[in-house]
Amino acid sequence: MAANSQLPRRIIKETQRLLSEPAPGISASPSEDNLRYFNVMILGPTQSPYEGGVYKLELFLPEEYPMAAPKVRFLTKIYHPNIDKLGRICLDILKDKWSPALQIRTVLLSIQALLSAPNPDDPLAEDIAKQWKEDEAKAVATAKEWTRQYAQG
Amino acid sequence: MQRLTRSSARQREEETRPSLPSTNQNSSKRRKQSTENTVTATGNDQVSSDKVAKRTPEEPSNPTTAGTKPSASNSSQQPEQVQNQESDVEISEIPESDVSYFGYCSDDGGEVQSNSKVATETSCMDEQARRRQQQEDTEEVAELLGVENSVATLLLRSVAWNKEDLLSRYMEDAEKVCAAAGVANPAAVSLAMLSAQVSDRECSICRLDGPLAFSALSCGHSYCDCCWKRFLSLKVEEGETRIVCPEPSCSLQVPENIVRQLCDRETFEKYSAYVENAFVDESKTCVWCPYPNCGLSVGTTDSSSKFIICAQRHSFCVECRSEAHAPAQCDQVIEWLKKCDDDSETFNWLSANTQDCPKCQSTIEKNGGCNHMTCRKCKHEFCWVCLGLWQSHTDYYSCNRFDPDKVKASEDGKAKSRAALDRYLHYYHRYMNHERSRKLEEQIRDKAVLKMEELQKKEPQRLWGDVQFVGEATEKLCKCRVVLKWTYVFAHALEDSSSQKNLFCFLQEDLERNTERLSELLESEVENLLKAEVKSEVLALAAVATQSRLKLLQGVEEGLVA
Repeated sequence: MAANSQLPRRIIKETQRLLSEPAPGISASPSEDNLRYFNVMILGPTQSPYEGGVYKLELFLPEEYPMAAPKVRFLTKIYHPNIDKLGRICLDILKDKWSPALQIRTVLLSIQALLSAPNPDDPLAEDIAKQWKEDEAKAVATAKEWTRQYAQG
Repeated sequence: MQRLTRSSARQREEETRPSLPSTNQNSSKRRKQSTENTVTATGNDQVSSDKVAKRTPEEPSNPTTAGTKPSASNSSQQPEQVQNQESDVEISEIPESDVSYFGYCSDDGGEVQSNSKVATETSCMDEQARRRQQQEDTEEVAELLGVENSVATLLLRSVAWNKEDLLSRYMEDAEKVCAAAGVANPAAVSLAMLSAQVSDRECSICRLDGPLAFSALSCGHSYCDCCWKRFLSLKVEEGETRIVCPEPSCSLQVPENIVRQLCDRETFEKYSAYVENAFVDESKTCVWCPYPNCGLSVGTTDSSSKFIICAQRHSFCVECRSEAHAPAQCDQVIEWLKKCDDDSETFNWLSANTQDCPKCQSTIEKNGGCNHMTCRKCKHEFCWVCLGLWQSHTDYYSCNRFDPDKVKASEDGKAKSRAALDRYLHYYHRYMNHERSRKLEEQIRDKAVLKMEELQKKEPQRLWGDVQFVGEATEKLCKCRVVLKWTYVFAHALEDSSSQKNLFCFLQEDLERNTERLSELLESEVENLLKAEVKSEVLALAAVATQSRLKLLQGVEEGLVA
């Protein structure tokens, strides 16, 4: 725990709040042996193809955090135009729009919002985005199928 | 026209005084700028060389010869210089009232003027001058709008450094301009950094409690100085030059002086360098030299031509960013280069550096830029390009022309595509050939210098200046080569057998002949080159070739053939 003893106050405070007042449909808890590594769970938002799914993610706070953005990745397989096979997420605030005034909580809320509103015009998974634009109904059906198949907790 | 002639004569006068490279007393601001800023006035070089060309005694048909002879005798006290390029001096010695006497000259002046538009590269604002201009613009805007320099910089950057545009827009709608630039309105308060010791407040970034020193831009989003410093340093490290307030909903930009105030010196210097580079990227008045590892920026505003030259003497086209490619047009160049890329396999075969002697079939490698080949084995003399007999070549030089009849003769089912390929290869072969020749010829000067060193050891009375003309002539030769190279791209785009093309080919032929003559002469041994009669021949030929080059470029520019 020597490394954790030097944990910045900001991370300690954020962690405390995440645990004491979790955002609806989101849970994040630090790993025991590395307090910069979080196990995250996001519930598929209602009225989205991901409804009823439980999505596991990993979140890591790099050394430069909060000046640099946290690194977040889906561990659960998901059919989404902005999330690729490896679970990497295309989200502006994780890249150039990151600001130190943002937090873990805001990041996870943004990811949850991304599940509600896929953006096939700014795709990461080209093939899924193509499907989404050509035949949205079919894409949504596939996403639901994947939710049922891979995201049952 | 007369005015032009006079002023250009005056201009030439200045340029020929070596001790006074830049006199700043010129009335026009633009002129002042260019004398101050230009590193090497290539455009003016052209003017003088052209002038020499027009007045070369070796061109008996030239109407100027008679007209300019008296002026030449005016300066007979400098016979050496008359031979040399300094002959411009005489022109400026003619009283201005005599301008009408230069009936031809004023045309000439006009020709040079128009040539400098398209044909010749203009050297422009260099790095230092650019910085100075940047500084001046910033200070002017700061003064006019009553803001700090660093705010003026932000405002200018938001409109790609177009000062006039900024000022007129600011007068119209200051609020809009400020919002677009990420500057608080009124801009004067942008810098109001609120700094205070707040003991009982927590910084929303590091979440540390006071006592901490807080700072904020005029938007009031306040963070501790330590967080500011880390934030700015990281942004600078990332190469960001438009740093905005950390608050996600805020679009206020951090001005330069805040970076200076809050970061260490090293970071600030890095930031300044990035901002300076951003000036070139954003400004429409200058561009980066596209040559590999050059990294110099060149101003484009004082150029009348799209071909400009950087301080390292790389000349390039502002529009398509390739080598200066007169007389070919940008779209022709782009298409051509793409085609060359696509058909690279064919070219690999084509550009093999050897050819067989047409007589004894020995494999021959070209070891100089000149097309006059002599087989070492059988002494057969032939043209490298068409492999025809050299003897029959000099007078009826038609190897620059593509003869469509020849191709038509080979009638078969695939004649058309075959003809297209043949046609293309015809031009490509000649295009590459001139490129290779130029590369070889660029070494002539170095060789001459080396040789001079040797000679000096043996004969210490030799002077460096004796070999100077070789370098100058080589430079002219290379310029002709570049133009020749691109003439083939231009010709490739012209319709075969059209009158335009015939005219163009005529000009091309003229240039090619003179260039080859010059090339051949310059390739002789240095001892030979140092002979007075050879030297004067070199100078004359260089002038004639330059004249041919300008004639061709002018022809294209005036649309005679385009």
